[in-house]
Amino acid sequence: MKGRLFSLFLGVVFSEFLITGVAFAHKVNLFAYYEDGRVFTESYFSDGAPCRSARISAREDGGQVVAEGATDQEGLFSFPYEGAGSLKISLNAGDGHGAQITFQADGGKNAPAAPEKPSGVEDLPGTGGSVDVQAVRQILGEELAPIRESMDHIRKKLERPTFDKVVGGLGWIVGLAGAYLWGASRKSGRGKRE
Amino acid sequence: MHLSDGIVTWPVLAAGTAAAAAGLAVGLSRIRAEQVPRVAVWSSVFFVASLIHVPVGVTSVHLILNGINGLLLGWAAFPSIFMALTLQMLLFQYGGITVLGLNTLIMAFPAVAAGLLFGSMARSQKENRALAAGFLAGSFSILLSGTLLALALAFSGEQFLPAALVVVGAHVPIMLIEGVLTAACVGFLRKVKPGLLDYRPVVLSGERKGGQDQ
Repeated sequence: MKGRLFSLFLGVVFSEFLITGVAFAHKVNLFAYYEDGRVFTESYFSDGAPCRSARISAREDGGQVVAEGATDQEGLFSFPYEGAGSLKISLNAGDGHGAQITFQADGGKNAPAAPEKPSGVEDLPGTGGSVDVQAVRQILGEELAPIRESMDHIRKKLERPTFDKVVGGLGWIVGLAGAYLWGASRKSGRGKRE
Repeated sequence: MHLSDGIVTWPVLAAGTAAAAAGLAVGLSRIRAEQVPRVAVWSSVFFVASLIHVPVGVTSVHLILNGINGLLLGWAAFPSIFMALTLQMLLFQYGGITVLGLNTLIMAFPAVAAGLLFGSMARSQKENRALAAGFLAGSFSILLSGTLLALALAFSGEQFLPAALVVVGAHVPIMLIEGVLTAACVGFLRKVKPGLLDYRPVVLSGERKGGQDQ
């Protein structure tokens, strides 16, 4: 009876979890990327809700504060940064949630090289003509936007607890309790057959 | 309501971890072998409850269910909640390794307090009294957890009142939900299996006294 009762309760809890589709706030995810001389950060709770008005700061290796501020309504915060090196970005939501990441700023090295000719037009080998680098960059940016979005989507999805992890956790509890009981029964001798 | 790594200062961490270790030791010493499955089940419930979220305005909060843990387990809520929090940390990266002790204290101490305060009331013969005890245990433990969390933040340089208002304010709906859930659970158990409402060691007939306490 006891077992049936609890499995009923667990079942209710569990199905609710399935219906609500797993969304919750226990941790803050912080993510940063570099674009055009600025470091962009994005923060959101584990259910995908943006982390608003959270204090955020970025420090260089030496401990020098590069930027400090608060996230906006979308959980975004960006600051100009031209240096290269690792930045420690930390966020404090004020309610006990927070996150720290180390961001490797490359000072724009990975960004496309700035056009050498002032006109922004240069010869590309094999093309037999000239190409407007700015235009190419813009087109590439537009073409890559959906990919960035879908990567964002995948990243957020990966951070959510998966069903198998939940089941695995329950299995751990059952297993540990079983091990404890086995140990207790061996000690008391009640586990031995007479 | 999981504190993250790197938010509170180390004296707070050390004090919280020490207190949690003490609670854990008391809890483990009170568990008799027959009660282990019960502890494991409520640990599982706590483990899963955090995955059920309720949107509240701009943020979202999740069920905690520490009140029912304390009401039905007493001091054994410490090992129960510790185990669930450890697994949540390992599997979901909630909280963090340095704050595990403090998080256990924040969740389990109010549970035990609720069990001690409302336990006898929940075993009352009068149904209304028992249901009220369930509601109070469910909501009071959340209130106390929120207050403890705000205190931990206050000792780490945060302003106590704003932090407390944010944390407790966000959990008012959870207090109501868990109050009702806990009351429903008490109401159900007292009809079906009233013995479960009493976590105190009972010497069953024909059983050796003392159990397997360590």
